[in-house]
Amino acid sequence: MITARINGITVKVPVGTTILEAAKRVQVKIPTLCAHPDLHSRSSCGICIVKAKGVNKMLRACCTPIEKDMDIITHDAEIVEIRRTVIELILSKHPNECLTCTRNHTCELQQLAADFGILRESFPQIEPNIPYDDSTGAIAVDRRKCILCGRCVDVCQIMQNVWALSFLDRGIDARVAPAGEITLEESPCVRCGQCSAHCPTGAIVEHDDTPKVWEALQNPDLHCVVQIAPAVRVAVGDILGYPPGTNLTRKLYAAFRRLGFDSVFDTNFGADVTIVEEGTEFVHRFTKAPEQLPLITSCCPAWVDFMEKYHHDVVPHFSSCKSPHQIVGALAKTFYAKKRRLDPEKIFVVSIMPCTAKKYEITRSKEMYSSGYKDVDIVITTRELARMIKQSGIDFNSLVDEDADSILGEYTGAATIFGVTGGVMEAALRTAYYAITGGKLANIEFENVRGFDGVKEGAIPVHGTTVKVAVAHGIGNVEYVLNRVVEAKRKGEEPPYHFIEVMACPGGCIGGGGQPYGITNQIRAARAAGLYEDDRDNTIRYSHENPSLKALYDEYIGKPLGERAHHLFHTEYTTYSEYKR
Amino acid sequence: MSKQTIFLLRDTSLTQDNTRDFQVLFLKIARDLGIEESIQAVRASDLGIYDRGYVVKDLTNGVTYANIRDTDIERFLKATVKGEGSVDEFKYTADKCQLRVVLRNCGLIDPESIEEYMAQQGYCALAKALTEMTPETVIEEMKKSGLRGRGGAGFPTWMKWSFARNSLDETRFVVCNADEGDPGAYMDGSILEGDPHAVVEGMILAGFAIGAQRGFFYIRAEYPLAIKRIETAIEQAYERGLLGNNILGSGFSFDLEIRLGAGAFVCGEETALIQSIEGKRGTPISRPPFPADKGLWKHPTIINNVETLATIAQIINRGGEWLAAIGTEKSKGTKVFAITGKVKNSGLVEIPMGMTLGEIVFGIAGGVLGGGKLMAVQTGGPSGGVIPLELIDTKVSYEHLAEVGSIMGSGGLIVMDEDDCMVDIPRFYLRFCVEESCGKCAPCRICGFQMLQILDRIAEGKGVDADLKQMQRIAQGMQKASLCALGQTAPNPVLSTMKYFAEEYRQHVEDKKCRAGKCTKMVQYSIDQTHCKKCKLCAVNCPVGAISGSREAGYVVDQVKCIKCGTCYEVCKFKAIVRK
Amino acid sequence: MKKLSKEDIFAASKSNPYVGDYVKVGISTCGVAAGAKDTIKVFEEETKRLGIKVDIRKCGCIGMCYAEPLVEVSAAGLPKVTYGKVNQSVALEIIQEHLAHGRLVNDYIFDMPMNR
Repeated sequence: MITARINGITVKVPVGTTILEAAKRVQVKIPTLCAHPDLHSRSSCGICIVKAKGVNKMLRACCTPIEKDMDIITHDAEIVEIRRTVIELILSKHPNECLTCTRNHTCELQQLAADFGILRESFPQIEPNIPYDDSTGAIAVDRRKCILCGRCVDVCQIMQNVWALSFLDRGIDARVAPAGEITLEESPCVRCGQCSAHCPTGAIVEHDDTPKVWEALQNPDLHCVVQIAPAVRVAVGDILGYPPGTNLTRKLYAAFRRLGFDSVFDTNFGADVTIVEEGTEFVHRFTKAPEQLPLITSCCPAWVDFMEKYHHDVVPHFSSCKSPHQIVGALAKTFYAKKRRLDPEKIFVVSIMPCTAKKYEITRSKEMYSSGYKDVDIVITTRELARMIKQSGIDFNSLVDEDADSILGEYTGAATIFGVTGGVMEAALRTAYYAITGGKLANIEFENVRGFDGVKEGAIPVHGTTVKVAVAHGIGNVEYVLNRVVEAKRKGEEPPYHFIEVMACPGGCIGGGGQPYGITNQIRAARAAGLYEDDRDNTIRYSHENPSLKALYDEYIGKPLGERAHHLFHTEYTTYSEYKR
Repeated sequence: MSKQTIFLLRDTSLTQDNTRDFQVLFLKIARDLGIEESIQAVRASDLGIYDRGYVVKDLTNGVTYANIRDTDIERFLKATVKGEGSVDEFKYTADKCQLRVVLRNCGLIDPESIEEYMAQQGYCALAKALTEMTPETVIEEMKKSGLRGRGGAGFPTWMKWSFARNSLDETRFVVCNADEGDPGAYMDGSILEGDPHAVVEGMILAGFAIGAQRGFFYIRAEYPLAIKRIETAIEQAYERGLLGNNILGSGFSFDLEIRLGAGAFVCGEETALIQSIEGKRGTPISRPPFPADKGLWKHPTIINNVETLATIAQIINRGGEWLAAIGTEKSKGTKVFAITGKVKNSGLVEIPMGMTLGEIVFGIAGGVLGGGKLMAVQTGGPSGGVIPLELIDTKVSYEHLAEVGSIMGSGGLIVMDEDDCMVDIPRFYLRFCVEESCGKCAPCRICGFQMLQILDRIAEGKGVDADLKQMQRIAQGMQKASLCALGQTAPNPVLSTMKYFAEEYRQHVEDKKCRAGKCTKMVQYSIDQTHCKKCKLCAVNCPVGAISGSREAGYVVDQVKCIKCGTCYEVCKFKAIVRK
Repeated sequence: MKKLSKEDIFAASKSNPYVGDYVKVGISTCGVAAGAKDTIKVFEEETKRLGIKVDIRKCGCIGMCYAEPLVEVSAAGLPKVTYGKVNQSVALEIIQEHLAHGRLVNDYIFDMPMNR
């Protein structure tokens, strides 16, 4: 512990604490722009500067460790004036388009400008001519708004290990772009959207599909169906005035009906189906075909894309099961259409996802058209949903809870934890254990696959043998797991894991690229807690016990991995190179 | 032939050159005295002495005599050749002259020969340190010497070394910063080319002192000859067992390799240099932690300038007190300067700290080229400031230069006369900084650009009153909020010229006039009809046909078409073109 | 090649490899830019042709960069002098006058006071 002074007040902090952190102890939140709790500070914006007695240069609070006997001043007339000058200069290279920007009201630069009372443009605008890149259809990049904070580069390179974005050129011409300034679509980008989740301005945003949803809702010929992912229900509250992690499931069902949707389903139903299918797949490989182990989950499309680009060798280990929302979409246009005697061509399926990669998933391969039509028509993210609710004028807080349409809307506790890292693994293990042993686990909450460590490992004893599992989240953490698998294969040894769950976004889907802005580990924990509570509150906590699911299989599907199941619920994978050009 | 006395003759007066006549008279008198065959009297081109009348150097006996008049020649020759009488009153010793410590071998030895280096006590310091001293005593010697980093910052070298020495991390590195990027500076390049082994020896000594195992030369790619010389020197050192395992049986092992720069001035900054060696984008990172604490791959790393390293062997050979006896109280030793600009003798000079700028410019470098009036001297490159004529007696040292608003820098010294524009010079430096800015931090990236825009407008005659205040404001932000010294010091030339030459800025902004005629957009060329001989030469040479008229009516410059190239001014034989 | 020992180094420091007449040309970048490579060539070829025995040596930047190419001559029993601005024709003059006949060449000598 070291002692220092900030604004005349003595503080005692552990060695290595930054000035920014230490200042919180004296009730000062030093303004920052480029710093983010998820990332190692880059110290590029120059806003967090503070003075230290005896040092003639100003220090950057976000990355300077406070030292013994330092005497810091966090704000005085000169510091505030310089911060204001820096903000004004950043604004001079930023298009003045707040009113027509997606980040209006949520933009960090806008907030700083407001806080510092910038009332005039003191400097001439610098207006570079950079084209807009919407090539992926999931993430849209407007580089004119980029303030070069570098968060997206750190996220894409270090956190996600995808390396689609980097810095090009230098000085006033410095910019963030894929190598060679190809479009994102041609780059290794997997569309996870973490860049947009961390961007402080409107430089990287989700591709806005809400106009198409409005159009569909208005069309009297279309039967509009909506499904909502587990991670969305505990996150959308951030934008609608609730504490982080509040579970708003039943109010959301009500809101959907008010918006005009004809049927309200839940992606968690699809999650239950996924568990039944994938669980059966796992049990088959584990008991009868161990050379095909480990089995790797495939419900995360950014992760699927990453494997197809960077790890061709491990692709055979993917589960062939589709992701839950694709399953619901396929069922909506076959089983549901049949049951309600609707023309599947007139069914319009909208998925509300925490994820930008799902926008790409829906056209990924021909299996996404297994119903004979596009299984899921449109994906919109949590942020887009919140905008739609606000645009419609619905007074969300005073809605009365409602239920989903149970045919594809009923779900178990195992399904809802899909949204958090480790959840898919837990759910699968619950069902797999039953499938192998016929019995139930004593404790169905697997603590060692919960939590936010980058890689979590566990060993579950099953009938005299042990199932070894690994859970990784944030693609940057996956290399370790895959390296162990590949190394074991090369040496001809047994694989170190039998079952691997990967989620591309840190925290799992609750930290997805399409979720409300301002993600921190505290918010991830709050959302995770919300989902775990949803699991505990559910009377049924095993996917295979879902009554609607049982009815589905009895009436329509038959056996898991059977012919119809295969046609509707399973997909294939291709491999290709990281760079299309 | 019998031993001759060799005389070098030179007329050192500043206004004329009568060396030839002097020589003729000298030889005639020698002939009259009958000693023509015992001497050679040769006209020298430059004896490094100025404004001392006729100067004669007796090369054979190594004595210089000044202020010799025609009437003294006979007495002089009798005394120096025949030994009759004395002419001691004419003896002249240059009290203020160069002291070549770092450059001692440059120009003396063949840089590609390790034998010649060793004949000049090369590697004796290494042998002494490894066999008779400990790393701590080496650092102690450095402390006694008071050597400060010669790259510009002037941090005490011994202190930097002791931080690394005292680290708990056992893996340490030494790096030689040879990414000399200041425009007009080539001291480090010349040292690397002229005496590479001195720098190699310095690196090994530094490695021994801090306990490093590896060292890197970071040389800018634009110095191919320096790279080649260092490569050869390293190879030769390995061959003789002065690098590698167990050097001189001392148990100390050290390896050296070369890494190249790639055209980025910012990579001369310590942390950006480290990023570059690590293979990343060369941008600075925040300090602390400092490289001596966590540098290359997060290990303690010492980064020293070429000049600093070239001094170390001599400190060990001659002792720290020897260096401390040279220089001022706070700035010990010598400094190499590259004097360029409007000066007669441009080149590299090495002077003891404490000499004044005037003594350097007028005493050693021969004064202003063309005999014009000195306007100012610029030190420190794009990070430094100007020192006007009235402060020319400023001593050269870290503290004295800082007092007048400039810095020592790496050693660039630009001499400016009345034909140089005090708005144009900082504009050049600021443009350099803007181009070389890495772009990582918003203050440097955007402040520099906006400030340059304002300066450009002022230079084009479009300045407004608010501009000067605006520049002050931007400069303050840039100085305080930039991440590294490039941004922090880029406003210095502008601020310094604004302080000392405020009137010139005012002329540019309010009167729309450039005194020196350098800001071409504001210069106007017109024809003075009283001098014009109507020869049409200007009109014929004008590249855009802006001059028209006739024999009868006279010729006139069309100001709208005129592109201010100045060709008419140059070709007119009658000085009829007026430029203002 | 044999590795050096401490004694070798101290012994070498007392050696004097500079015996005999020599012509030393500065070939750092400043010299090369001013044409020092041509200057050396003239010295090498002409002294060979005229049968004049003299070592042609190289060195780094002497410092008077404005006077490049610089050539230091120690020959014909005369004290060491430094010539500047030695282009090919001046080189020929130095060979013919100084080296061949022991007569210094006018107008090209640079003698700057400096201590080492």
